[in-house]
Amino acid sequence: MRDVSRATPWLLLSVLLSSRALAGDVLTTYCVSCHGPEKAKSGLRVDTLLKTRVDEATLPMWKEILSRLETRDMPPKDKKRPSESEYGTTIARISADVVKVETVLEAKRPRAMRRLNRSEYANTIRDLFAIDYVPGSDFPADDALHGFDNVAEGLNLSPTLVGKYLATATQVVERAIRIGDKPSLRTQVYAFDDEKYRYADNAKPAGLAVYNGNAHLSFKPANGMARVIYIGGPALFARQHQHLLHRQSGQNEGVWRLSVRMTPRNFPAVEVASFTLLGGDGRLVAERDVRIDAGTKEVVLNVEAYHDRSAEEIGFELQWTNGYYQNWPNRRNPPSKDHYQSNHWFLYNHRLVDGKWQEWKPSVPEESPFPYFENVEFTISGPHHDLWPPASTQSLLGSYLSDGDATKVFARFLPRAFRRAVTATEIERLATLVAAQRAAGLDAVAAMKVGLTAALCSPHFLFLVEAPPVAAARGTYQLSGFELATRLSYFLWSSMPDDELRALAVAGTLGDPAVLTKQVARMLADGKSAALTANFARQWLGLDKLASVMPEPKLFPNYSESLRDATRDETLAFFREVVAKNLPITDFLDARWTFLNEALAEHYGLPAVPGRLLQKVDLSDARRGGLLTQASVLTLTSEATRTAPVKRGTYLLDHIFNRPPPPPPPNVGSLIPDASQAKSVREHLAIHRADIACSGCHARIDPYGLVLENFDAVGAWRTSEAAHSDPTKATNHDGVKSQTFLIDATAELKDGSHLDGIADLKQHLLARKLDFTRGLAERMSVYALGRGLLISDRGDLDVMVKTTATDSFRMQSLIHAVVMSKSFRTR
Amino acid sequence: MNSRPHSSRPHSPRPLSRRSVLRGAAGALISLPFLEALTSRSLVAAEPAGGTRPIRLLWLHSESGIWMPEWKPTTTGTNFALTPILEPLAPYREEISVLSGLFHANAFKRNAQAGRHVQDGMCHLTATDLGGTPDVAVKNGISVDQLAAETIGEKTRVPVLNLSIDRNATMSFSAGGTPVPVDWDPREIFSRLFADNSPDAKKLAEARYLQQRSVLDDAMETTRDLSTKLGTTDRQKLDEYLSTVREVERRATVTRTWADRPAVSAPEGTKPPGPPPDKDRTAYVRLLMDLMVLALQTDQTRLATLRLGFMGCMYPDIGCPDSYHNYTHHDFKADKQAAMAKVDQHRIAHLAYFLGKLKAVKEGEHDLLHHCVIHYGTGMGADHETTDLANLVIGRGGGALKPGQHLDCKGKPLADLYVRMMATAGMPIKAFADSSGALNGL
Repeated sequence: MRDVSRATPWLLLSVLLSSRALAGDVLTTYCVSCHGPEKAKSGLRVDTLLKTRVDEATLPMWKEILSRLETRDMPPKDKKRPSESEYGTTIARISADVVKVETVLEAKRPRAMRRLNRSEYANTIRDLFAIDYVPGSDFPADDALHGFDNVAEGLNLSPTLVGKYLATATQVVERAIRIGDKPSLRTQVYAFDDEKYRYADNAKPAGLAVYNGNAHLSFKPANGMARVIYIGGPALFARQHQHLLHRQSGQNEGVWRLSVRMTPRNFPAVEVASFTLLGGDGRLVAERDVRIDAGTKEVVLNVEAYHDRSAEEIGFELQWTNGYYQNWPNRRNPPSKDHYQSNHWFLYNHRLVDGKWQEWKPSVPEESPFPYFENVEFTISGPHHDLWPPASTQSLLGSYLSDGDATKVFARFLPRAFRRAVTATEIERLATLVAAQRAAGLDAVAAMKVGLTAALCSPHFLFLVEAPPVAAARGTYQLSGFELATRLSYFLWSSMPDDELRALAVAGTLGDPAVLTKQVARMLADGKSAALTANFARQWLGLDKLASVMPEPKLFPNYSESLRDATRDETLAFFREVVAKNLPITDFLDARWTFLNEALAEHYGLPAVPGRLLQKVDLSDARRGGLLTQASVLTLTSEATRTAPVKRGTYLLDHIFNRPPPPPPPNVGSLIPDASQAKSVREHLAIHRADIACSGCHARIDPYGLVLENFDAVGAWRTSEAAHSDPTKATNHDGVKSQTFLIDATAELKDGSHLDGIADLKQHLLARKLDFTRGLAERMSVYALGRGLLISDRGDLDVMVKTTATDSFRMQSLIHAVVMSKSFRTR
Repeated sequence: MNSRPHSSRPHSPRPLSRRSVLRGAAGALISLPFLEALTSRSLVAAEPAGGTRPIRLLWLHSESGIWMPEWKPTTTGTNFALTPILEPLAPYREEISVLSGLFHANAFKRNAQAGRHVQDGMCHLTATDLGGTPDVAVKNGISVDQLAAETIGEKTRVPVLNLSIDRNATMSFSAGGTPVPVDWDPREIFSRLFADNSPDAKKLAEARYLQQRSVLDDAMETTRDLSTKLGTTDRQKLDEYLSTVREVERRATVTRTWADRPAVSAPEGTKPPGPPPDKDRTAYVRLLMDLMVLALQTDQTRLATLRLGFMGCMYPDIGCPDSYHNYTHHDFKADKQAAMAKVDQHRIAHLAYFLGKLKAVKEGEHDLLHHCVIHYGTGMGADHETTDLANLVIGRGGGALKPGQHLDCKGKPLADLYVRMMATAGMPIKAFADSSGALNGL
């Protein structure tokens, strides 16, 4: 009998020596037949790869191989496959080599200095100067990397951008410094007088321009009848606009106030009238919902808007956006051959009688039985300045106007602009620049403006400067108090630190965990944290794609820009609420509440919600609730005429789990429909399952999209699908066969489990909440750090997931965990 | 990216002037007279320094396609019959060549990040494959007009004039794919071309230049200081900033040297234009064309681009009130196809107007048009198709080209035409994007 005790060490040694060989053996045995000298599928040659080491050049291929092995995508099901233990050892071996190489590569990579992106620049200017000015709207768009537009390596510089920085800095300083006489405040009331302001002859008395809408389109389709009345006077009807253009010369820059009064007529029951006020440049100034009932005598709206000095015309546009104008069937193609594109103009001249459109021109508003507002009166006043010179000027200049001491100005300004303590040299340099400008002939204020402009073009302003010692290895430098304050404020506010953060940085206590925790809580409660929603959530959820979706109007006549905007706002409001109320992040997967307005409630088929403004609503309908049931997500993952389960599946893997599938191989065509018969979208996708080369990835992607098939291409619930034989010609009825299919929202996952519809999907996702937490932690870390993630971050991510899970998965826990992580506090 | 949804509700929160049409009481459009006075009475081109007449390169573009069945002539060669869309060009038949079969293979590759409309707008002059890595922004290449501007741009006060009726989108991209903003405000364009040359204005410009220099010098010095304090691993972006600031300063200096050169005033009798006629697109397009002619005639520039139609344009005044893009989704309905063709013809009529203005300017023994090479193209054909496109080449390039034919280019890269244009204007290049040689047969 063999002596086992003596043979064991040899056995162990040979196992160790052969584990690498074993990995190579596994790959050779199972992979080379398709990825070798005879065939090289997808251009991959495993045999040649095995001969080289894992290094920088071969790293991407090894990572791909690793990923396919981890998901058991490869070898395909119809070929000989390794045993589970073979999979295990091979993966472990390759992972170890990959991690080793990646770690070395990561340590060598430069750490990019992060410049302010467009949004951060605008917010910083707002907070630094306390002026109402949004620069950067004409800056070139920032490039995104790793899904976010604030990643240092992705943010490029170009002469165009730097030219804009220069021009913008000049303008900002001009706006911030206003001296001279206080502009006089003027008030003007515009009460309409039929005689003077009737639109019909387009007469405009000098100094005043008023346009009345001249078509009334209030009609009620409830009983199928519609009536149109022509009004040419001072009334406001549903869906109509009133424009006011007030002309005033002189110094107009400042805050302008508008007050609108009007009298409601014919309002029978309780009604919520939604108003939108736009500035003359089309910018949204305010939205108001006003409750009106039979007893309401007058409606008054008060708004404020900032107008800049170059505007001689202060304009406002008032719209009553809801009202009785309901979804007119086939709105895009009015039932008449008239070529008026806007409903206004069609209804101006016609009324529907017995189902036929007839020309008609009534004469007086009293003929209308429908609700409207009359005696609209505008009172406009401005420019308002609570302080003169304005606060921005006073805090910038201090006593400069009397003592001409530039040093004092910069001693006050630079620490805020550069977000740290500054040296006397830095102050002197700019003071000298100002002196040189004065010597060249500029007056004191003009010279100071040049100095301030220079500060705004300094890299200390434009970049989030973190200055480790020259020899410091990555991850070893502990950020200074100011550097930490800056990272923190740009994470939660997309803007510069405020006085309290700065004070803590000066005191050196910001790094103290208790202090840091308190600051995070304070910052999340501050209104400036809206930036986290506007920037992080928007990009995490890919909402920008929504701007370019174009659902086919013939199939989705109720989808409009305003509905699209509402769906976007719903998702953003949802995120904001989870943060603000510190709700569990699992609410993103399934929730019993959402935000709705009138249009959304109708779109979702939920109980009516009055008005335009979003309100939080409890959901009793289990089909809704959570991100994947929201119309924004469902629409941006669809095509113009149909749903796209592949897009939805990919979205889920990418945005929910942060594990996107690899892109399709090159030269794979789009689905070629079999034109001989109509098929449901599901049937079209059967190709993915049939073809072994496709099913590797698609068995992972498609099921997640198929279970969402009850939601159509704009997110409405459906139980059947009208399919045509060529999905790109969905609206063509000429000889193209069509059929109606019942929706089948079942799917089988790779692990064999079976899902049926949204209810099962939610359970499935909730069972994977740790994976979701990990994905969200990763995404949030990229955004918070402004860089891609490294291997060295994995430990921190593990802690973040654990901490969040321990606190019932609460959102603020995750945010705190990100801030407390070593990655966040070091460079 | 400049894709735009095509629904237009009456009360979207956008500037009123952008797409809405103001109507008078009777529903008639308020139309503005073309600014006839703008194209001057002295219709003679400026004498160039050095004697040889420069060749001008112009690129005109309209988005979203063209109705090919009424565009493409049925025969090739010189005896082809003008099709309905091309009808307005009848007086200039000898100056135009119709090119069929050219297209951008790379630019229209299937791309998950950027749909066809985006590619149409962004890649018309770059012929670049935008690339479609998820999570990474698409990357464009340099456009041919910017490439030309880098070469000959400094010979004129304005290196290249990029005009458009759509202020929100551009088809010009500098090296590295950075978008170059367009000029859309006639007042600004005019003042760029004919800056106030009074001593006061010059003093102001000089003062402003010196202030800018101060600011930029300070930025460079500060950046250098900071860079030296950091290790190589941290300085990369800062070094990039430094070189970019240096480039901005260099350009400002180049612009300033122009201020010292003899003043170029607008030809006698030219009245400065007003704001963009948003309510009358025909007037707007033609005003921009007038400005282009002025700029070329006075040798303020030798390169220009103009986008004269975009996806969402509506033309109620010719009976096509729906958006152009909607007509391109005609679903085989004859009336929609007819509307699309009508808009196409309307746009070609603008082109005819432009050619008329160019021909009216004497230049040496010929006219300004003789010394131009103009490309008119639409990024897509009918039905969002991307291989059977409409392309025109107009002008004789100083005698190098022989227009008046319909050429079937059999699937060659459209970039070959760009290479040929560059060569004709004295800038031979070996390749551009997916081209590897100049287009022959012109």
